[in-house]
Amino acid sequence: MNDPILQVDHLCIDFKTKSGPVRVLNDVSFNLSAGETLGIVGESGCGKSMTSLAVMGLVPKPNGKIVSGSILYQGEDLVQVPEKRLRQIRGGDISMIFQEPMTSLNPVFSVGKQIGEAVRLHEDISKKEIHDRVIDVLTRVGIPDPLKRVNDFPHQMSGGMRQRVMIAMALVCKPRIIIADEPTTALDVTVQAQILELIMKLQEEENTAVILISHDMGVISQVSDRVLVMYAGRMIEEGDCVSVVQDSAHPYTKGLISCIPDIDHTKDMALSDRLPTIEGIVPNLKTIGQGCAFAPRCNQADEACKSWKTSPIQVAGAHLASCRKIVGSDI
Amino acid sequence: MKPIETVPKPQSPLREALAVFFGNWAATIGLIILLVVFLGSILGPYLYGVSPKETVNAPFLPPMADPSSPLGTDYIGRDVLAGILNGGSATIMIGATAALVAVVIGITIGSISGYYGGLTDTLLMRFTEFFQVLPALLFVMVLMTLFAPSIHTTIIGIGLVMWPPTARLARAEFMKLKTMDYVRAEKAMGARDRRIIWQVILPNALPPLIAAAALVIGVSILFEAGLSFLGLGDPNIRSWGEMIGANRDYIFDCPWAVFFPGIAIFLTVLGVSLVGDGLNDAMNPRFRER
Repeated sequence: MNDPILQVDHLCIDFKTKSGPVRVLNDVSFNLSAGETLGIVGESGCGKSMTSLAVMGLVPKPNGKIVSGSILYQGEDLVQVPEKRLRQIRGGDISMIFQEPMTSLNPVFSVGKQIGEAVRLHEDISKKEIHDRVIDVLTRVGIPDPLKRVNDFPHQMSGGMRQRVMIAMALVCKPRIIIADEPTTALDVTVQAQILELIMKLQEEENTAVILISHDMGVISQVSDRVLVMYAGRMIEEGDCVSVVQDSAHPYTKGLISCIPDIDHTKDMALSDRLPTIEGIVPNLKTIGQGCAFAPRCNQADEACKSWKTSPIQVAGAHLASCRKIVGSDI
Repeated sequence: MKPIETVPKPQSPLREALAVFFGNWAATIGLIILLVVFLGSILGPYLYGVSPKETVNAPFLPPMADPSSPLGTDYIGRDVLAGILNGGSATIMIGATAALVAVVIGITIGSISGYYGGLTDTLLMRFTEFFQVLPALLFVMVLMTLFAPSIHTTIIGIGLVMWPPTARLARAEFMKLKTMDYVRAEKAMGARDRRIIWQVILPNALPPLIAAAALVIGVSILFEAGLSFLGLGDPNIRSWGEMIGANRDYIFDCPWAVFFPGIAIFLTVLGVSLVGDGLNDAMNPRFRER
């Protein structure tokens, strides 16, 4: 594959709390190439969104702090660059689609004006050109009658339409990377599929890289090329989509996949059978120790797991997982 | 067969707000009062061409005694009706400009304080509290005695004592709105703080601020009247407060010279307050839900 345009390397982020710093991201590394879709999965609070905020340079100040690691965007370290350069990159080179289309648009301006502002922040072009760009991008995201809808206010649109507008805003400056943070979570299932399809279609047209963040393994497995599974601020499994979904190595990934309701399988299932779940809750990041963070909930864990310093272990090719049981069983 | 009717398009926010405003009878009455006051102050001096500053008739003339002075004359024979018609523009102008000064200071300090938080917020809020605990009337009286009592000193003085509530309201709105998703989205688009404060958050924070500003106008008019009553207004400008102040020693000889300007102030402030309340209801999304 071609050279990565984004390289996140050993990224650690601490959050200041009253009882001392908490490590919310621990040693996260991944690469992203043009045209590729990277899916990041995990439960709430596992660090998915923090990863995306770090790439955007929007780690909440003053409590959040990047302690170590680097984020290389085409050779430029986004951890080090000044705020001014970051503002150029945000929206221009890397843009973001948010989870809540209902609240992510400014209610007092028409959608056309908001998309136009996104252009104006990055390019010095005339009003007429901006208008044409806005109409063009609205057409591309599949908004019917864009010449009329351009003057609509957000409250005059449905959730799916607003998410299309958000995508239009993210696309209008032709970014190299789009980060979609749970873009379909707030939408109806039928609309979800449309929006995912749209993101994928636009990605192909421009050869954009996409980071798709979701807690829904189903969504991720549909569209990603590669998958990154996170738990408690750490990466626990990484690899191409097929191997992670079909031959998952980490017990947590296996658990996540078995939680997806399978319509063929449900037919054979007795009514009393329930969907499997992962017992327990996400650990408190403050009390997490050196060992495997998943050990307390893992049905295969033993005493040694609790003190094992997690590190990625090769499963096959580029498929990595952080579970010491892999070593134990295969080698 | 009739075609199925489509869902009606939602009205624009402005239309909706206007509907709520005019559905509120108190606010509508307030607006009518204000219109009468404005028209009277603008057209009155031309239609009723009597000078408010000159002695035009016998002093202490009661209302209706002489048809040429329908509301009577004061202790030096100045026409009370002419005073009311001419004094309105000064009173409203001073009240409105002072309120504008207060609102501009208040919004600037409040929005910066609320948006940045932390140390900036602490320092700006202590500064605001300093102005808030000053005895307002005494502070302006000192200003008036230090600098010559002119219309500018009056406006600046009133503006300086009126801004803290606006600042606190603006701060609260900014603290609430800065966590909204569209502000995050705006940051992710690469907008700078200046743009986010003035072009993204402020337009959303305006409705309650406009309503509050209307009330500040009312209080400023009262404050100006109070200052003039104490003889601290600009003596060259006939305002309603100044009329009351000038005649306060003769309140038992010609009560009408104090009573009618008082009624004028009362009605104007009432009108402004009713309109302010109406604006608050109309712009507050809670009341818009049907």
